[in-house]
Amino acid sequence: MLWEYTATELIGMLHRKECSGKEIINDVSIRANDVQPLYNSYITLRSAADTASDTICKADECMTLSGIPVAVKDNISTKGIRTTCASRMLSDYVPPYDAFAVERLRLAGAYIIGKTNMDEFAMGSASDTGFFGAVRNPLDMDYSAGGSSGGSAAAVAGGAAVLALGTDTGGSVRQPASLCGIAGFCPSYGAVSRYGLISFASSLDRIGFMGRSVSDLKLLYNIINVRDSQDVTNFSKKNSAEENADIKGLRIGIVKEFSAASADSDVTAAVNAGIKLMELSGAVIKSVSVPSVSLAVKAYYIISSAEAASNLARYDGVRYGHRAENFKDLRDMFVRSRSEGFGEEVKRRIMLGTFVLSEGYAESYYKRAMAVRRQLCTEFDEVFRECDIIAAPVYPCAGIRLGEKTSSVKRYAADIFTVPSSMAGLPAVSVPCGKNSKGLPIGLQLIGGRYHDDRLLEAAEIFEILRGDDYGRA
Amino acid sequence: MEYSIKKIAELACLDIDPVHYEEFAADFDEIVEMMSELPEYGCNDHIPEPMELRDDAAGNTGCAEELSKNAPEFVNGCFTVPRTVEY
Repeated sequence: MLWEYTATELIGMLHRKECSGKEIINDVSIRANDVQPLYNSYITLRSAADTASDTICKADECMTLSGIPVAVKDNISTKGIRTTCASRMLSDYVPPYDAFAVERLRLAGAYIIGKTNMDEFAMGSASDTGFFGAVRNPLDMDYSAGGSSGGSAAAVAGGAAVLALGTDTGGSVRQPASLCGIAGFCPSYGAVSRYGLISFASSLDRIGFMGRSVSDLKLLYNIINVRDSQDVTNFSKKNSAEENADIKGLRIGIVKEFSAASADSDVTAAVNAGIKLMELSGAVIKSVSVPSVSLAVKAYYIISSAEAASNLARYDGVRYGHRAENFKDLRDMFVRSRSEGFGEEVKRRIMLGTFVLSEGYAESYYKRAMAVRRQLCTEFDEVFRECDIIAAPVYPCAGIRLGEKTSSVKRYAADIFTVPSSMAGLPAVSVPCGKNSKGLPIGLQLIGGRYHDDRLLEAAEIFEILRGDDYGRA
Repeated sequence: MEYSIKKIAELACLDIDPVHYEEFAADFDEIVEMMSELPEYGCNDHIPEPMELRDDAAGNTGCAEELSKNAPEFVNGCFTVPRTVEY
């Protein structure tokens, strides 16, 4: 079936005229509609019968992504297509413009197959905090697809999309990619324009890519990584000239503080086996230290919550978004609209952000967290003088059982392996490296120096070739 | 630690469901305690790269009508809110 192939394979088949773009779109659309009741990976899914659109007509034109169905996370604006952030607050919101990344996809001929389910406003790690229900993992439906880009990951892993856009603030592309057994890439902060991405924490938010192979990630990245003046943090600096694509002599750092963090034994074993594989092929393994890693989660939740409280203040029921039906006055309308429109996790983060920015607490919380972030950046800068990439787990366990009750502190603490690179704005990729005893996939995380995205993707692709097995299909 | 969850909710323009208030408060306290353990770092030399700002110029996006369709209430070209001035 065509839905089983990677984008790179499908493009090759199109060039050889072994299939047509319309056939790919029809096949993947039928698959997506069939599995939607099982995985709940989409919030808005175009119908399999929707073959009369302009995009479908372009399916067989010679553009890079002609005929390739791409899913887009539902916090990325799509002109004329409802964009909800998985929130009641935006359940009827239809953006009047495309995000820059979506515009690039459309220019490349991609077919936007639908908008994927997620944690509400991307706040969560199991795609179970949203208004539209939890996303199930196509590899075992008792388990979550991870989060917050769980819908994008499940769609790609389950054949309901060929490629997907997600967003990563503290690990939200890498973690679901790892849990669903696909590849996920979070580029350097600034490498991809955030124009049209609905903000959660602006200094941390990044648009990332998901696919069934690293070459698919490269394909998407090269289409979207274009300078955009609409995002002032977008920066086209690249260090590709001195990129070393050879595994021989590639210096891989193992962060001592990551090794000290607790991860399940099967996760540690799979990650260590992946690192050993690269060492046997000529990579040089170095032990390095990033002392502030142990503080990163605490600082991350302070900074991201502070930015969330500020960004989400715009939802007041006036210009767009949910408005309560019954209220006494303007203030009451704000409070009721926000209280009805936001879910519990979003309220918790807004409250935390309000607290850490409030008079008397900003010094001891927000300012300290910002100092930790600067210290973390300095420590990573030093480490990348000694090594080319860092290897680490993505998540401490191979699966999150749906419906499992865990305290917020425990859930936040599990972000230990992804949050440090988020805080430093570093590119990071998750590549499947093994499975646990229940058959749930485990990802290896590779982290690169800032703006060394190309080198990182080259290293990830080499690892994927060395690994050999095909993990990218449900 | 002296802070009031009710006061924070008021500042954030949110109501916490009274049925789940105790549970929410306990969880909130636990997170605040976790976040309280940050050491004080002095200033270091890390200077973020400056952003290149675009011109602060107004432009016509031509999508006023589409924008207004997202409004809960839009009358005579205006977003409407409840009366704020008593007379």
